[in-house]
Amino acid sequence: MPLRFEQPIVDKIEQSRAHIGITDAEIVRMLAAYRLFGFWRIDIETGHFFASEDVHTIFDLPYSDGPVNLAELMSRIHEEDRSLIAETFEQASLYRVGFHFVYRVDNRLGGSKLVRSVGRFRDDESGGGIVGITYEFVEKLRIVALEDNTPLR
Amino acid sequence: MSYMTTSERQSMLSAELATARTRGLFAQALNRISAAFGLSHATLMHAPSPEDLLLKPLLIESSLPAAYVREFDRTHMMRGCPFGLRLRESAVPPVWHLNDAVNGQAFPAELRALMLRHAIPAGVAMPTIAADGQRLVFWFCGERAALGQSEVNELAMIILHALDAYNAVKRNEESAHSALSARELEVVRWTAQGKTSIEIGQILALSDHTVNAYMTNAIKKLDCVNRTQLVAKAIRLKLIN
Repeated sequence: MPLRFEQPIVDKIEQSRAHIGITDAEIVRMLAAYRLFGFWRIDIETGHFFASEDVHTIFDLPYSDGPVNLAELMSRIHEEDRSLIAETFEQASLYRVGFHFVYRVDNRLGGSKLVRSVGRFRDDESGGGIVGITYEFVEKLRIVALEDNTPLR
Repeated sequence: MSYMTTSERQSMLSAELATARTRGLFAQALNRISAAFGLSHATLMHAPSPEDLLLKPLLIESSLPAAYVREFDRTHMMRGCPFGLRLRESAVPPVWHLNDAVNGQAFPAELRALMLRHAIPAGVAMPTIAADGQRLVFWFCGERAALGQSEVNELAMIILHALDAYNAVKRNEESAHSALSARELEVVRWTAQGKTSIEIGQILALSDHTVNAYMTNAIKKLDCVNRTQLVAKAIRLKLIN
């Protein structure tokens, strides 16, 4: 595998949670909150890509629960990033590995926005393929939002 | 001890590049260029843009140690690299050595330490533009005295051959386009658009078995192992858009 696709050593420390009492569901919900944050799966054998609503919104595609039009989705990716993204999918499906990538996507306003995708290879009874998440990467600076059900003081 | 004249070295390297028509041979030829100039690593990469924070995604071919690239990216050293952005603005190749009183001091302390740990205090970067218009950089580094002007001139000539070789490798890969028949291409295109074999069969008035046979042929011709790789490769090679 070319050097640029070798998997980095992730030297993250396993986080202690028992003393905090936070659940997986809460972490996921907060990660996905206040931004476009979608999920997807590529079926390795058919080459089909299935994605949630936010992925469609990020790429400005009409939502469908059927396979996504990959050619159209890729056309939204910045020209300089497109071939590397395609090659990442090639390598990931060939070597059955995960990946992450930050790239530029057409923001439909004449510019680009940064998007991050993380993929993970899966091969178990729930189905073979690469599952992943895609979200808009750059936060708007100094933004504050409260949940709708947060009581006002 | 045997000595090689500059013109002999240039002819030998240019001849090797002229026959390098695959990625592997091309990478091998780059490493030979590096060694011929007393350097240890050769890299071909995309020229960084102001938005690029990481080195790894820019690499096309590289013999750099993975640990170097990892550390470089982990600490976001692209921001401190004194020549990074200049490679998009100028065709003049920067030459550096950490001991050099002027250009050596331009490297931030952390980057200097990393370069010394990997024994690459000296280097040269040759900015160039590929046939498809992409801005590329040939970058050689290692442990030796700073390259002299005559060596840089010689290397610049060799890099023209290296660029030709890279363009030829890309053309070879892209000739896969003509390797696929019109029907195979059509089947791959519809698959990328999310259609199943049955749906493609209905669109093209073929049985799904025939569609699958076209897909299998296309997978073989593009040297792939599954449909995902085939679709991704077809997009990368611009066979479908």
